[in-house]
Amino acid sequence: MIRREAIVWLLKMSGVTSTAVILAACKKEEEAAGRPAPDIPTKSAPKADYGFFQPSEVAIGTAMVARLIPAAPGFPSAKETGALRFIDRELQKRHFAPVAKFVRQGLTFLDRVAKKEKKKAFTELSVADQDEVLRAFQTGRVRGLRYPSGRFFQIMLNLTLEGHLGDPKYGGNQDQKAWKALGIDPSCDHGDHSHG
Amino acid sequence: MADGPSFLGEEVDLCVVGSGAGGAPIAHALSGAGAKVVVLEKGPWYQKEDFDHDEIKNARRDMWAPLVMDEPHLQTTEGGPRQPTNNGWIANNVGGGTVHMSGYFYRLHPEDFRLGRRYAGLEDASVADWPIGYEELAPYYDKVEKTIGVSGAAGAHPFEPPRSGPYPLPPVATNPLAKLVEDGARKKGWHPFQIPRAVLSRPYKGRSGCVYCDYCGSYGCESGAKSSTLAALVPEAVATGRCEIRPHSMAFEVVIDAKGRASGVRYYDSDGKAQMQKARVVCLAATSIETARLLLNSRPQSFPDGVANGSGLVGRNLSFSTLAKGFGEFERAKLPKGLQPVPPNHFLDRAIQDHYFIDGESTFDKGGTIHYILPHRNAIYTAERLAKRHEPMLWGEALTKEIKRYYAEVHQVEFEIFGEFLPGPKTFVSVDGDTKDKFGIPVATIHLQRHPAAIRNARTLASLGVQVFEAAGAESTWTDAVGGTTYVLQHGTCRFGSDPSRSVLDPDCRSHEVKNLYVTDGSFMPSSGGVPTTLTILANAFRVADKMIEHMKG
Repeated sequence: MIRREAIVWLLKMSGVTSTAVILAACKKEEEAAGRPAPDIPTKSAPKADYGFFQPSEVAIGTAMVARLIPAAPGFPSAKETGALRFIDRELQKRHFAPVAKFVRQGLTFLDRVAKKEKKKAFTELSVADQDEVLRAFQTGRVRGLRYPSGRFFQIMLNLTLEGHLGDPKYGGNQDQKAWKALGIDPSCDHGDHSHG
Repeated sequence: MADGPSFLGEEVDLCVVGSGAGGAPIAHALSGAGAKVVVLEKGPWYQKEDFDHDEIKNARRDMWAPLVMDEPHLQTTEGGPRQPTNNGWIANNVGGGTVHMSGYFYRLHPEDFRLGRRYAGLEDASVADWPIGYEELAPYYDKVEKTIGVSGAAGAHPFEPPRSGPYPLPPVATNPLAKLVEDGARKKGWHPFQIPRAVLSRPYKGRSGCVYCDYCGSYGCESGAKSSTLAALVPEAVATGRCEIRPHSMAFEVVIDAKGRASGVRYYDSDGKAQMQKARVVCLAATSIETARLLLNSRPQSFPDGVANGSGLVGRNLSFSTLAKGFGEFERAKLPKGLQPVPPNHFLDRAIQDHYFIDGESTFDKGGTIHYILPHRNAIYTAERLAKRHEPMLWGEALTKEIKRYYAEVHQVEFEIFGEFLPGPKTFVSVDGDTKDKFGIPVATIHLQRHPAAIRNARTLASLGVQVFEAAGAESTWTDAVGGTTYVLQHGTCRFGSDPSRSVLDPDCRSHEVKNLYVTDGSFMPSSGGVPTTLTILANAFRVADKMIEHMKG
């Protein structure tokens, strides 16, 4: 059953967004709890690199995306492709208003758990310790967030993959680094075709 | 953006709600026959220039379906709590779901029209015979294939439904990996065939042929080779000078006059203002769920429970298509050279219908189609799919390793099954809660209770589908979403039939109660078939258009 829910969340057929489903769930809980969804105005892409995250959150978030998609030989990390910059821009858009505050809270908790369990800031931990903290979030063991910690992890993983592998115009996948590494060319310029 | 005539403020002959597979053929045929038509379409009128391969825009936001925060459906599954969802939206744009469809254009089989008698005693199921037979729809299958352009090979397998002649276009080009499926299926003694596509294999009627970018599903076609109603029917209808497509028009009420006839449709225009389009005939084609919602939200004194709902059956007998997926993975290094695909990206597109009915099942033996394709090339989707093959989902080094391997070392082939859904008393659409959409219109609730026999047969089809991969020498195979639901294939909320106490529509898809009100999306279908149903909805709409022309003359 858990697995089926995960599928429903993550892989929607035929052009239906997965993120929207998570958002809907969040919005419903907001309403149930009598809290209005946070009103974060839509802005055009900020001139500065980050318009939503505070510098401390940028540091924690960068460390997190670097662990979600780390570098491998011939493959860039999500830190190198600027996935967090993508996330920052997305969270300023209207459709992400219901989760923006939650993501902010999640990053704060990431650091809080690191300090409590590992006695260091999240950014100061070894990658093995960072992964251990992240696994605690993924498996829902971290308490006290406004939604289950697994949902924070899931939102960040979804958004990181979008920022890593999506169109660079949204602020991630810088210089198409991830596409180039995998041989992906969505423009479909086959080079050799002469079809009408 | 929009072009063509404007009939704003005028009474017209016909008002159609929806411009997809059910609505566009009506608008096309009736404007062609001289009627003045207005099509109310809730979404935008995309042009070719709006179509690109941006996965985030096309597959992960609100290009096609609205955001849940703006226009939710509610869903309760197997008696669980009602949750907001965007399940049940197909598309909100001129051309509807035919714009972002993959365009697999199978016909129903003759037996599909007679499942009511076949499964008469089946518990918790409400399958019914169709009031028409295959032979009545067959000429309209021909008509769709010729009118919009469908590419295929006739006579390719022994289970092919009867047809009068060849396809108007030869099949689309084949990916070398199709041989794996063909060989595997033949080893099992089954009969693989190339799937007919609503994609032009060569230029046709002024539209260009496919360039094989392989971004069909979830995407609009920037070359115009996909035979959507947007590309193939809307331009011809508009060119008559008698058909206005009115985008950003959200219908919310079918208006009934003192004589009990439909007099038009009320809708919110692009500024959110309530407007009325008067018409002598009204045709609804907004999807099974949204058409039912519109009727149930229209409650004049003469129809306190919803327009055309004297039988209480509007929204009932909802069916989707039963889903299962399977994957076979082949190591590139072990495949013969000829099986290494090179761009352009030709289609794998093979299917088997040897199990359209499952041997050895006595009570409910309806299977369906096992449909082999290449997994969608969306990169974000691919990474997620690889990640979720494991529980909990992969991330970190484990995920990057899988991603790299996928793009460099293996080929995966996928199948999807299209299984009979089996409608029943606990699967239906209602409009009975407090939840409203951004327009203030009460939303639809989808009640879903999947029939155990349909799930069982999906499991059977999935295991048969995997056997093809095994026979083809796959290194590994797995299944996913077995017994799941394909929400974009919708049927049955306004069933057609001869008996007004057991159906909403008559055999001409006209309301039993409101004689100038028609429904031409999938709502009319008493059973879901074992194939994607887009072609059938188009064909039936052309059939109904002919009836409508007769009725209007009479």
